[in-house]
Amino acid sequence: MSDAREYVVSELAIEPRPTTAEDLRDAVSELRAKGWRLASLSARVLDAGHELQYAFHHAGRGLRVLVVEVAEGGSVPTVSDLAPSLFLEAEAHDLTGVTIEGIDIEPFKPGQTPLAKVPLSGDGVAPITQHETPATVEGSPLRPSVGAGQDGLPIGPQHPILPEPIEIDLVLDGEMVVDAGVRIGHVHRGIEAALQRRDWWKGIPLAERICGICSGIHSYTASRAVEAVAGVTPPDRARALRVCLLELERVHSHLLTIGHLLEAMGLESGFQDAWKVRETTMDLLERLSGNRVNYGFIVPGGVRRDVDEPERLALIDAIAAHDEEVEDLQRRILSDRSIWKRLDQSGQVGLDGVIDLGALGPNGRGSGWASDLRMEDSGGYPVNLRPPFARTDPAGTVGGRLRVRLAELTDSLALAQLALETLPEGETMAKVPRNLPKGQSWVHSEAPRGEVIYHIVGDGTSTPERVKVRTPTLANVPAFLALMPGAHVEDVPSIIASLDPCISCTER
Amino acid sequence: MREPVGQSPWILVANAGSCNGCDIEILATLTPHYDVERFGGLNKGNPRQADIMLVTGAVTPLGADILRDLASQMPDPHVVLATGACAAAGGIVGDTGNTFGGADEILPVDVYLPGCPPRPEHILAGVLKAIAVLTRKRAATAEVDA
Repeated sequence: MSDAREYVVSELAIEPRPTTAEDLRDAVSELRAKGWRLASLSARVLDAGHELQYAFHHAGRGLRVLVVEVAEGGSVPTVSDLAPSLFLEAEAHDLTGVTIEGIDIEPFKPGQTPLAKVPLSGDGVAPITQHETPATVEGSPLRPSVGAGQDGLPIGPQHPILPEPIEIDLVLDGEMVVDAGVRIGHVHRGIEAALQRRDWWKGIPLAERICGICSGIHSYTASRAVEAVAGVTPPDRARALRVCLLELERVHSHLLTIGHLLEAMGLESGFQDAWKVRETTMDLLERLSGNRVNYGFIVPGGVRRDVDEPERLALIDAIAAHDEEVEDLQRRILSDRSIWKRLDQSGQVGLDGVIDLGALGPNGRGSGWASDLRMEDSGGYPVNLRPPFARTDPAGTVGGRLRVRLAELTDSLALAQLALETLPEGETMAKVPRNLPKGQSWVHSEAPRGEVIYHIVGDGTSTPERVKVRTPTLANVPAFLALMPGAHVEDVPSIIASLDPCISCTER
Repeated sequence: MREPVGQSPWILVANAGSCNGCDIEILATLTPHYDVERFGGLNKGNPRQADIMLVTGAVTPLGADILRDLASQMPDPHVVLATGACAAAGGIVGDTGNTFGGADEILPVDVYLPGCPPRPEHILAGVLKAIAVLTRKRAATAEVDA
């Protein structure tokens, strides 16, 4: 191995040490062979050139980072053939303009995401005007080519089956999908760039609004990243309250996507049913945090709201009552043969497949990948509040992913209840300094949709120098593309819904 | 000429760059707990059949194209309801660098609904207000035609 140096980090602040990168590919293959998974890639613009940080994760051993410096006008080789990182590399290119050599895998090429500017390179700072709308790339590799005797089926950006704007291109041979392409960028708001222009305490509410569904996990992970840079440990009571909120959030998110999946397969009453139960979860979230959607509950140092004793006991009872309602819904869905006859046959991907695609969270567990960051030290949960095992299903189908989410509903409610039952006494806030010290942190947590990672670079001021957010849904797009060929066209909506897409956090 | 449909306006939700927060609250408004259908509102993805457009999110460059397209396909008169702080005035992402701000930068907006996100009861109130605006617009159109 070369002098490409590594840093083992979990929640520790690290000192950046620039290295050369000639043997990047060797280092990546070596880590892969030892079982490390490429989790994220963060690029930042230096005074001259770029710096790339490759974060690897190994179950039970936390995160580890390879740092590579690229001189002005230089480039790094792609590693996407060694570790699934194509989208990470494309994103790094689009956000910072760094050159990555050798990316030519269809259908996603760097420079093809329709951003008006290179947002983090300096020219992204000025507000855009209406004349800078990017032109559609003609003959783009994002649009798969339609052969003789085949039909093209474009879906989106605005389409009745899509709750959010995304462009999907399907190539059909009769009723079978033979190829698929996807084009994103409709909801790109430039949040990463904005986080680097705001004080960290103004950045937390913005990070929370990366996604309106899993907003708690974003404020949680961003807060932990700030705490890691600042060297602050939140009080035990705050950590338990955070778990309670995050598990209730997981319940509402899973109920939402279960309803969405049932609607996508044509079962409108199932959608209404799941969302009716979800309203109780929303009430619980509101009682705990004060808000239904963007909670404003988790902040660096702790939580903003405490639970008094009568309310704690009342919440425990309310969660227990909600659990019965959820179990009733589980029974109704699990006993409906028409659902399972259809869903157990579509969208199949094996264990090797999801590992190669890097689909974590319920999507990976639905193919038997027993990975759950909540069980690990680096996931940040207190030891007594970690789930004892990861819910998995060997099927790997749409049905398998649905069964995992259904089972996790009751698990999460039990964890939320346990967090309140064993709530430690004490403070709910620790003091965080206004200025972030020089240093970096890489932090990841288990979001309802997979793995969310924050990388924050502090430079001694109150504004972070670099904030990189790796969202679970962008990592699920390759899985979507892989599942499309061979699917029946009528199964396309349910396969999309089974991966739990969220375009707003895909694009930020 | 199209006959006015009275009290049963159909709704189109257009996401111009939203974080999903408003979108899920709109969906919650459609489900049994709040049930916007009791006021005749029905969520339809088709702009050609819709009377009220609920815009969510600060408008991104690509979102602006979608909004203009959708509005041009809707029958007249129609009502645009800017749902949530972002659509109403740009909100927290109004100055992030890749948004134009609120929906009224692109389209004439009839009803503004602040809140991050607005609660389902608030969205219901906004839709009722939009129905009132729609009725007024239709009456005005009928007078001109008469």
